[in-house]
Amino acid sequence: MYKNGEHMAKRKSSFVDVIAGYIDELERVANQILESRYPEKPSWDIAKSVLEPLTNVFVTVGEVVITADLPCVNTAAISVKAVGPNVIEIKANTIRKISFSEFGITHRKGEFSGFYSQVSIPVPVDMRKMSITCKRSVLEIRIPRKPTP
Amino acid sequence: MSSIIKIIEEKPIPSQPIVINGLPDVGLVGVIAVSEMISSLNMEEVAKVESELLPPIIVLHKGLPYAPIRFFNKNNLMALVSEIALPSLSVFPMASEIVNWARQKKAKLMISLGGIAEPNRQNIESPKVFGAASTPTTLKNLEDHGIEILGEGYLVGAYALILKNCAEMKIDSIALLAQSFYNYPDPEAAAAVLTQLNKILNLKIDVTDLLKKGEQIRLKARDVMKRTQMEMERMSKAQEYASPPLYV
Repeated sequence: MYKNGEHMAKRKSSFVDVIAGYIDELERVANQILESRYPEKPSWDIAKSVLEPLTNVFVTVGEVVITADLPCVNTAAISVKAVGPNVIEIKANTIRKISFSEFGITHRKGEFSGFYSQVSIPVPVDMRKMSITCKRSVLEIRIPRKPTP
Repeated sequence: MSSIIKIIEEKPIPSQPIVINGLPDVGLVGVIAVSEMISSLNMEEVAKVESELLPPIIVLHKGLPYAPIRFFNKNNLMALVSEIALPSLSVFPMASEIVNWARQKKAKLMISLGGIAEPNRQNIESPKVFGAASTPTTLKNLEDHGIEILGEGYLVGAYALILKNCAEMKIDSIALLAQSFYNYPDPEAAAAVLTQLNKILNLKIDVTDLLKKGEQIRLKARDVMKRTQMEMERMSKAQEYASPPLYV
């Protein structure tokens, strides 16, 4: 049984959840449309000597789990920090310089010394409670979700 | 429907071949494994796949153009490998044409090498290989080799259709699927399926080199993996995490 006002609070909370879900979905579609208006970019930036890692974002009930594939990196020198309320920055230096020729590409010149990526998180999270591990050169970042108001 | 995909033979194809499929899927396991097999056994290119459903792409190797999806051969062992992500629209006709072609060639066995996504993959030291088969006989064959059967679940993508088409046409076919990263290239999983393939076909493909150059493969395969992930999402590949509601 609900105490006075508790039932209404529950209903309000579930209504807010539904609206928040719709807003997330709208944001996702808007981002897709926005991205599709720009030409596809390469997975490397020769001016900054960095490669863009493959990443993944899973949203679970209680937390957001972000992973990034970081082969050939010095795991002790991986840097992860929040650069906004819902954006994290991943930086990692490779253990050696990686050149285009390693990919079999000889018509481009340049070397890469690390990975760089900014990952957007689709739901509110508590960045202060972020935890980080790295196994098999896969970085895993866990961030608890903020409770819905 | 399948005529929109063409398999063009450039050299004689052996009769009753064993066909190994290395198509892009989770962790690019099949592509990595079959590429290693082609190089290790020094297989020769014998046929290519062409279709207007594929993007207008050629692959340049030492300045010369190649079709991105090709068949290789050594004795009666054939390998199919793709160097591009398969557009989701091409998957149905592609699977149909591959199996039709295998039937025309009286293929003795078709083996699809791939991965099964495991969210906890980074904590797994040695990926386990699961099997599924088109007929009770081939299923028994897998069990005889100590391969754990993928009892219940969903398979999504080209391998799912190849297995289904082979079952309908009574062609012996198996899928060897190693625990793998979903959208990160996984050479360790590729080594695991090759090890099982060695046992089944009595081959001697050495996976030491594959494991040694694993991190380099992961770097090199990033772009194909990214495009494969986009196609997997269009096919609702994540449904493989679900369990089917019925037991028949």
